[in-house]
Amino acid sequence: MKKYLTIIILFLTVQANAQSSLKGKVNSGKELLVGANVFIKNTYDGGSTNSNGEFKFSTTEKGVVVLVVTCIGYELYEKQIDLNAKEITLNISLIEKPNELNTVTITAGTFESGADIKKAMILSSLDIATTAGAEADIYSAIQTLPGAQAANQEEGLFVRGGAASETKTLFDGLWVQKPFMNDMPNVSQRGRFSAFEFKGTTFSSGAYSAQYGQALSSVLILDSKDLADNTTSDIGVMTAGLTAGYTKRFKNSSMNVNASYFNLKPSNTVVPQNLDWLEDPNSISLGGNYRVKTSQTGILKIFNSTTQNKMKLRRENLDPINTKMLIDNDDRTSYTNITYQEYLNDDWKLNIGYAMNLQENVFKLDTNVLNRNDYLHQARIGVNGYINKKLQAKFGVESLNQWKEEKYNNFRNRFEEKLSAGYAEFDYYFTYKVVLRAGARAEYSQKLNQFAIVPRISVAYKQNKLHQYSVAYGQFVQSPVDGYMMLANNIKFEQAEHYLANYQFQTEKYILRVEAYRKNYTDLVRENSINNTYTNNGNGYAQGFDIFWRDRKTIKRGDYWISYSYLDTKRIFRDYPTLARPTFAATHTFNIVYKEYIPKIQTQIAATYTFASGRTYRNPNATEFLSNYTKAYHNLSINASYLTSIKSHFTVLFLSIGNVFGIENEFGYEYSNDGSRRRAIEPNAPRSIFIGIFISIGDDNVLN
Amino acid sequence: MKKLVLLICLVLSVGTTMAQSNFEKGMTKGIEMLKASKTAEDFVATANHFERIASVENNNWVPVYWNAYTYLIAGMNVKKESQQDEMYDKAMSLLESIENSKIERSEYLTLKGYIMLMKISVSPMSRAPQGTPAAMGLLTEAQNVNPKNPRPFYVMGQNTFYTPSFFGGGKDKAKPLLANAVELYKVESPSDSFMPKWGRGRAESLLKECE
Repeated sequence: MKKYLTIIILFLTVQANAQSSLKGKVNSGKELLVGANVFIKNTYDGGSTNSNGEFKFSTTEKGVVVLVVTCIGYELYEKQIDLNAKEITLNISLIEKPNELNTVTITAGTFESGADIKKAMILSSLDIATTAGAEADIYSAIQTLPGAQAANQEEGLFVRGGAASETKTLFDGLWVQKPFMNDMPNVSQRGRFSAFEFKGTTFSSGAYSAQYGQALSSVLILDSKDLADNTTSDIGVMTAGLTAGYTKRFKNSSMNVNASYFNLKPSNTVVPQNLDWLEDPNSISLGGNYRVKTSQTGILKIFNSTTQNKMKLRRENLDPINTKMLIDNDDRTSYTNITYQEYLNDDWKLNIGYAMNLQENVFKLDTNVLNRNDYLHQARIGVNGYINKKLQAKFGVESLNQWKEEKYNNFRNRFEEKLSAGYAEFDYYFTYKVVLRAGARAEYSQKLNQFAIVPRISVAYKQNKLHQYSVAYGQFVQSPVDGYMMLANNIKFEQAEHYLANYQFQTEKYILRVEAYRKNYTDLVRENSINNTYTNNGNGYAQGFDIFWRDRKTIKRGDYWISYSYLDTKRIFRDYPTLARPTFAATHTFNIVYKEYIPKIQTQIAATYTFASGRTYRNPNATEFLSNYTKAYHNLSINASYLTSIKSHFTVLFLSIGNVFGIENEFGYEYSNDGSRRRAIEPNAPRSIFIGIFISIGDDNVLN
Repeated sequence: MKKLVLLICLVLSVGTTMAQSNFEKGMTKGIEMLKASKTAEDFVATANHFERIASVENNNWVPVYWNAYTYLIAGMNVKKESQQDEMYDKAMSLLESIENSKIERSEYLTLKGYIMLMKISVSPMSRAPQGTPAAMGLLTEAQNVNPKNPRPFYVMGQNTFYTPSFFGGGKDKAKPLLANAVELYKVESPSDSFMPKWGRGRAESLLKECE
């Protein structure tokens, strides 16, 4: 018995002696790591690091073993260790894994919005839809970002001293020739597409990718949604009209049909108008889409939107005095977009697209009739993917065909353009903290008989999760505006050159972005109206800086952003006699956007305040060209959305008021021929009021 | 010779018995750790424990399942949105790695739906429109595959409980789901103590709040 006991004791001691104890710390090179798993490979023996980054465990293993350390967000660590020592102390450094938050991305000049917060988006799709004063109009929401200026008296986006024509809208990579509802002199218009059509919006205020061309200043890239999630019917009743839509979800496809009718008569009757409407702006739109998953990874999308817009008004003439002019506008637009995407293999993706823009417009001034027809087709094919882990590439070609005709009474002008372009662009990741993007774009215009190659380059460095620095350079060419294309011979592309430097600070709840830029314009078209000649000897510059600050933390449940832009710009172009600050460029622009959801009353409230310093206007009596400034622009808009249900159908009650205080804003002046009389160019109405109710009837109720 | 074979057999069987008991010991300890965990740090330490078991027990879905479940609960106990996302993503990738194992389909779908719902809760405004129908679809499928499993009813009931009524949620709608879950929990007889068995206490207390 004693013998056995000795053996057992001996055995136990051997066991005890065989135990090695391991302890130490795990760090990331900068900080101690909590929750790292430290263990001996192929055993249960191990431990986790505590809040001081320390671990401690013992093992009965012997000899040379492999120590493994795992931790979320870090690369796997393995090391051979010898367990002959009784006590082993280790200090382990793990290498951070690249992820969406710590990996560098090209940010110079770019504001991206999308559905997923994980991608560290500056704005979400919902932010665009709920900005006060925007009412789900993408363009109005984009105007609250730095670099963009409130257009107000015209359609379009003025970006960093660029004219509205210098910004292109792209729908799934294809041009939208007419992204606005209507064009009327001195009347601003909404965009044609609802913010809800898109899963992501990218606004680039400069030095953008070689993938895009024919825009001297800026591109707005809209990415349409994929298959609808479920079958629903939507109805909207507003002070401005009615909308109805039906979406059907099939197993591998979805379709949507929608119709809307808008008429501003009811609201124009209630809200005093600055204009004398004979037929209030009204429109009928029909549209739809069909999206089908052609395979696990492939998707085909077909989209159409067709609209007819009408309005008629009478305006006091400046010349001759006490006469009125009848303005009548009838506009038909149809936009079709077809795209197909598929992965060729694990690394390469194919994109094919076709878009068709049809526009017919009859514009009458008293008895004079201007007929405009514009047809534009565009096709593109491109691939993008990985050459290796560090090198990403994009290649593509596109072709565009435009035919445009204008008839003014008996005069007729027309032009036809064939534009071809190709691009190649590479993103090279030196490490996941430094990326270089280099690309070039070639453009050939048949009408201008000109070929151009323009380079784009940018470098970004992500110091750590919080700080990123980028610089970018790009050259851009664009065909002159349609009016010049039609009338002028021997003109060339207009050109711009962008230099950007950008700093971005981002945490989960805060974003600060500062960007400085310089743009040089050359070959701008100038017209000599006396002998009707056109030359490319215009030029100009724009320089300044933008600041964007967003804070989702300080105010509980509240969220706000502030943007400020400083712009110094002058140019000589069109009919300008000298270098001057153009009429569309305010020196200081400031926006503050606030949103808050109040659960108690199930209501989201939002407010937007916009300030812009005065703009230049043409005063024939001034000695110096464009030397007079309008007064500054102020606008406070608010909205509220009340979420409720009517017979268990999700319902939103919406109210918005534009320019709450009815501040009288002016965008410039019009003068009589002799310069003795003038009138201010103003918004249609000092205030705007919009009330609506939107009901969503789900056939597949989410919870049943 | 015979003796030798016997000896080898004996040694082998002792070896397997020991390995089994190691696994059982490890799993028992893990489940005890899970019950005792209070902070995110505790839950991660528990998840790490299951990870170590899984690293030894190849092709056994049980420790991987509990590893995924523990990360899900750990995610609910951290404050930073990016950390929540990290943990839910980790839970999801662990769970998806055992999709084709012997795990009961209903349990797989339930946990997947639960993780998706918690992912949505990180940023409901941007994720709910797309994510909620998909997650609810998984839970419905889980209920259909095994109508006796209380967990898909409990998870769906819990989500409905916390969804505002104008989005189709609320206590009234949650009550029948939770009541059904509680009934099913009462008759549930886990064949093995390491099989999924979570949710009962929470389901009962939520049901009480519905009364």
